[in-house]
Amino acid sequence: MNLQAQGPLVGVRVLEICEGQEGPYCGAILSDLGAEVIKVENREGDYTRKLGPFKKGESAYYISYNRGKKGIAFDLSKQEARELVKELAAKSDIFIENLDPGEIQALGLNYDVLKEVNPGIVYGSVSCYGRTGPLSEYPGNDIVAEAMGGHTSANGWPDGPPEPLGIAVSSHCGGAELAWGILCAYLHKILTGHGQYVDVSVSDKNISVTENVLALATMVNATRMRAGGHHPIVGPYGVYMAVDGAYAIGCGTNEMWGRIATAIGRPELSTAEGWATNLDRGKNRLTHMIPLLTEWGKDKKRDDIVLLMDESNVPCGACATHKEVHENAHYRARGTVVDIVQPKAGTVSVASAYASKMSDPRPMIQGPAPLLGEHNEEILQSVICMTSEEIAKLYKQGVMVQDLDPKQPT
Amino acid sequence: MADIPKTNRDILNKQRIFPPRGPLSGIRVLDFSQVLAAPYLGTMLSDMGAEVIKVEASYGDSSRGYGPIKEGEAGYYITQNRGKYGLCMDLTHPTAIGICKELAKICDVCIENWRPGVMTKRGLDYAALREVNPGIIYASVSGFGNFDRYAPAPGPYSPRVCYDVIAAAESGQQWMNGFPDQAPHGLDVSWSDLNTGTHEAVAIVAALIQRVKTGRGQWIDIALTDSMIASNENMICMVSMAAGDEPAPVRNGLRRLSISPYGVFKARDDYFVIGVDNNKRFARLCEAMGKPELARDPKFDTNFHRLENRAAIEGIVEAWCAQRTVEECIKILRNQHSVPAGPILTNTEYVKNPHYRARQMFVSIEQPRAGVFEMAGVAAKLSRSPGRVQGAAPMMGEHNRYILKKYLGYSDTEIDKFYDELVVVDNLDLAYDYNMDVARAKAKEKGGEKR
Repeated sequence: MNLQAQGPLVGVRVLEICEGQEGPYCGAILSDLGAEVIKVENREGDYTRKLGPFKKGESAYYISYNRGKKGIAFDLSKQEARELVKELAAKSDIFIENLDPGEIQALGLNYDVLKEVNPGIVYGSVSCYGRTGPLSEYPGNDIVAEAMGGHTSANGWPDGPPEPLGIAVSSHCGGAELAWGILCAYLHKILTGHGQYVDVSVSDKNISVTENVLALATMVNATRMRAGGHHPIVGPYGVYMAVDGAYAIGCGTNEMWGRIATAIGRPELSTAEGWATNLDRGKNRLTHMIPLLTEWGKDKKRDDIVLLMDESNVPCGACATHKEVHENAHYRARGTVVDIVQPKAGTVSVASAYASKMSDPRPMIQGPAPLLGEHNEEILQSVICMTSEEIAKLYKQGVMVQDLDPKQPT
Repeated sequence: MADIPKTNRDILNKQRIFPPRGPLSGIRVLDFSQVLAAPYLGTMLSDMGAEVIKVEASYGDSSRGYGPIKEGEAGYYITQNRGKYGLCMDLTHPTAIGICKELAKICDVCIENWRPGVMTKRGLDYAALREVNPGIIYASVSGFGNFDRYAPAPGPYSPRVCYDVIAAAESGQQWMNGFPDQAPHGLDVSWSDLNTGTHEAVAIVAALIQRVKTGRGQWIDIALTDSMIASNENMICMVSMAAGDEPAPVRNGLRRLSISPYGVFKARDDYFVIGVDNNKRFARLCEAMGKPELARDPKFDTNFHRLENRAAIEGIVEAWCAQRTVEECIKILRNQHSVPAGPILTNTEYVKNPHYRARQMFVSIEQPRAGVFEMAGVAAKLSRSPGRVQGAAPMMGEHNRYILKKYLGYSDTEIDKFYDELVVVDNLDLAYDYNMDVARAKAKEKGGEKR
């Protein structure tokens, strides 16, 4: 499949040896912004190719994180394959990896090696703990990084267990942080000619996205507790149930609470004791606000509530399901949800934070995710000028692999 | 702290000027941000060496009232605004708008997160600033995107009011957070704001790279809902593959929906996490539990089979955990068998963690009144031109005189006149017991902007 690049990074070449979420997500960001991203996979392929659900053997997981990339696949246990990766790196601007600790060194593709063949290369690593520090020798992933970074401990109800975040948002935030770090380094490279190494830890990023939580510890030595996602100092600010779904409401001021109280038919509560100020409503949320709105919402439809609050000029939104997000015309208009055509699975949808959101030129999702080794020939021919005979030899020796007919694991 | 300055004069005398260092040094940013998303974005730019001028309206960023509060200074504000210069003006005053445009002329980037339309009303939208500086990179953060002239991607929801919590709801993230038999609940922090700020930073530096080559600026307009929908793992693709009558995926409590065993588990004494996301790691988990044969058991050998027999495999893991303490579990799983696993830390626990200390993730800053305490360090670690926490957060209007003199060449007499006419204000005296009602009353009394 031909990819179509458009965006600020057109002309930038990225070589990616990543699996799973945060590394591939970084690659997907760079692709959305116009870079040519070459994904190098080992014989078995990125393990997310085996994570469901599937359509015609193609994985939703793999597609989500790898659309818009070119795919090349080697048997990396062979020295010749690793040499070819090195040759590709010599012709690339950026290299990213997120393998388990020690693996990239074992492949002989660590920064110290690649900077010999390409001194200007920007080399980025993203991992759970980072590549330095006492925990850096252990593997990890988003679930561990969120727990280590203080998010799991605060997600859930005061009387319930700590809960993982429902979606691995931290992987994406960490992947974006790697994109941020390497693009800052790449700008530095354009201006000075010097390449460098960028090390991102998702756990570090989780501490950086703290709001005021770190300050609570360092300024006043207060431990943050779980609050069910309800704001402790303003309110109502959180998620409430309707008869057919859930909605979020965000009230930040006392005037706004007055409008809410009127809208739910309890105007007297706008000035009542225990309700009047943000501080009251935050403090009494478990005994006052949550029971009140839960009872009130029991016989009302979610969308009616959102409409009512909207008419009262109160920020309110539906807790949409992913089916609803997928069908929503707004996100189509924004270019956030986009259809792509996979070689086997056919038309599927993926999401992008960048597609269409910049004015000149507008970035776009470049195209589908590659099958294993789909662009082997194209890449070797265009990047390092190999001949068809040489490429045929690589297949014969088992240095290069391809699987254009994936089977769904059973 | 031995000598924390206590008066306004002391603060002005000790005015903190810091030459920024990092890969973005030389880049100047005009920062019309408030509360969280764009302020965090501005701090990311500052960390990497950009010179960030935070322009506050005369009533101040409302996060100056958000706790924890120490000596009148707000931890919330400081976290999101450290390393910036502070300029405070009455943004309804035409002279102030003129000053903003003069600054826009000499800045590379402008960031803002006002409700769509507000910057237009002020005469400071992209259309206005590109008149004075065609190369400017203008970055907006809003709930659903902007919809006025030049807006890259308007949509039907764009005019809606939005806070972080609404974006987390509308993007599908909240629906997945919590237990299936209970109401979903909000995420632990304002992820929409922070995640969008991060995504916006990436686009800004990409636009800077393009500008080096072409000289052209542009408008970047990433909405909270965009970045949160993009951060939905495989969910959008999953529902697009599903048959029309298949129900939408629902939250799954302590374990992630599409991988197993992956989530929160209970040891004898407390909860902790295990994350097994591929077969190699599963084999190591089985080894660690002393049951290596499970890795070859056809009921559990692939993630697909583990999901089919979820209760069985997670039951085995739960039973194993229940006999050990968290410390023992982590020692065996993580340290001895390289299985991703870790403790669930609170904020007061992670600040003591030696790993983060070794990675310099806690950096001391000194605020004029609140004194010395630690903020989060720079997450993206560059080997050759590293970023750094450049300095403290500004008091309201702390750098008024510095900015107007250094960047725009105004004389002290002219600046005094701006003060007299209430074009420029500083509310340094409000730093004690700061609250928004006082700030607004004061600004109103001074003839400033009403909100």
